[in-house]
Amino acid sequence: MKQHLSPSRDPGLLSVLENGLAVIKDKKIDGARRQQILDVLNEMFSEASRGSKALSTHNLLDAAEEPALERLSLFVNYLDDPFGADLPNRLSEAAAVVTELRKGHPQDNTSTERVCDIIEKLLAALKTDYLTTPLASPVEFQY
Amino acid sequence: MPLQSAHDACSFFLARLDEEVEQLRSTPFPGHHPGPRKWLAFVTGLIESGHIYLETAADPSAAEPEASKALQFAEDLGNFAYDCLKHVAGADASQIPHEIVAPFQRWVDQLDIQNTIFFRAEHLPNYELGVFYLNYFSTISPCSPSLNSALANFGSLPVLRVTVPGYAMGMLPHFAVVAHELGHAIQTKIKPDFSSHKQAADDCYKRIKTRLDTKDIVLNQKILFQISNIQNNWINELKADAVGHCVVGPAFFFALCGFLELSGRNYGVSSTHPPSSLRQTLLIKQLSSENKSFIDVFYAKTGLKIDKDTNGPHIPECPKANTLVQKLERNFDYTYAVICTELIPFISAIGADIYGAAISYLQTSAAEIIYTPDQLEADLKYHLDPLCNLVPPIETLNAKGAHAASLSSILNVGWAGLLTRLDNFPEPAGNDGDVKAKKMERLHELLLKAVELSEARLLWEEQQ
Repeated sequence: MKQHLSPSRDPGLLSVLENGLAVIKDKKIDGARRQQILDVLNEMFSEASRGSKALSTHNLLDAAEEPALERLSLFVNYLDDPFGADLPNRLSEAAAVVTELRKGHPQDNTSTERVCDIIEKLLAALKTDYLTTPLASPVEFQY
Repeated sequence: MPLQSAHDACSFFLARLDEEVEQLRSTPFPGHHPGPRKWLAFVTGLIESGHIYLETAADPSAAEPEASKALQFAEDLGNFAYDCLKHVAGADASQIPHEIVAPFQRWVDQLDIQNTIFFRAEHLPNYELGVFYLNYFSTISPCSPSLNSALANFGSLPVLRVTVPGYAMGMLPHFAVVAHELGHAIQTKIKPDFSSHKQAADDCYKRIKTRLDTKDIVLNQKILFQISNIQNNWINELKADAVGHCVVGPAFFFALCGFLELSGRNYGVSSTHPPSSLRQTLLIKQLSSENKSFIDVFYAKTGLKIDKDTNGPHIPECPKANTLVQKLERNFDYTYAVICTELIPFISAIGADIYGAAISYLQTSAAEIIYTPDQLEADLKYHLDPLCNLVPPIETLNAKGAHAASLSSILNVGWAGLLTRLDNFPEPAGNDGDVKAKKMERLHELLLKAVELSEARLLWEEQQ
């Protein structure tokens, strides 16, 4: 089974991350649309965190499944370098903060800044991926 | 000025995309299937959203950074729409046999797959289920009303696309593999319990760690993710095999092995697939299980005792672990080679549980789709001899009278004819060419005819 959308070329993903920043950092979006974006972010962080916790048990019987694995793959592929072993904690923390925001409970600046830090680093990594995707090279068939 | 020329180019691009979509809309899709048209509506939504961002970019009151950002997003949406059109290529009636799509859709419905799905052929030896998650498109704002309505019309996400090989490799009996691909669409609903395999899991983990230790590779989060990902992929392949087996019985085994023989003859091991020989072994176990097994029934009627090599004699067994790691290292990095090698014993140990869970799920939720040895016996009894006289297996007699043959019945009768009765088919006209190939082509045509007429009969039955 193959998944056909490269994250760095997915306008939907880029849109939700940018809108996520607008909601959490700049507080520019209100109402139903704010709620919709927080719902999507909450699902993204919660599933990724669930997948990450399953891995941390080092037990094959607790292996993560979709959608947790699929959401986690985004963060592992793009944020392993900046966060390394701290990634599971950061995902868990972000999931908790976004869950509270979604319920309408304001969070302190430090907490929201740490969530924004993840989103910004993910956007930056996606941008780098986009910029460094090689152009199609000439094809040779050496049959 | 540069912004203006980029704006004009994007506008032209979006207009051409519109034109391309319009042309595709007038294309007949086999079986009047709604999937491709829903996909085209989504592409239209993207293009029209692109136009909205272009308007923002052209607004004289917009600051340059804002205009530039809007223009780039319009370009991204255009590129994405262009890419989406590639995904629907091969879904038209000239590429995929029109007879087969409606029966495939019946499998989709019987398996209670609610997602929008479409079928297409590709000039590649490949069956696959493509998954388009489209998770985040609902958050694009502003967007065109057409994008919102296209997303709403999809119903459950993700959107699914089944690919079958086209042209010479698009052989009807091999299409039994589509049941496996549909199995992927329900794999998350199949929940095996592996709790009795803790020891095998621990042993597997230790073996992986020991091998990585020898090269000072630390088992970090990324490697744990790789292990989990490969394990999950392999389990999903076996779940899909189990669904294929349940839906089509021996025809799935024949089709899978025949396809692997014709298209590869390699170990089949990768980050996405367990070894092909392991899949064969597990399927043979299922075919021989129960008092009246598929193998017994098939043997009684055809004289052919199905075994592992029956339709894939050159699919190799994997070598021992140390050798396999060395061989896999040629195509994968060491860590991947180790994970793939050491997962094999664990996946072998849990294989039966995966099949058990799939069977149990289907018995509960889609019992009518399960193909049984009794049904195979009836199908071979009623259809095999007439097929040799060029009578397609369209309808079946039972206690309730005549009713349309199912796709699974047609495929099984087809394989029985192909593997055991080709000599009984009438000699083809003309002396030129390969006689057996001509007979097989005739069989292919008969089966297509059976699929078309049984579907027509089924529609008629449903309207009574």
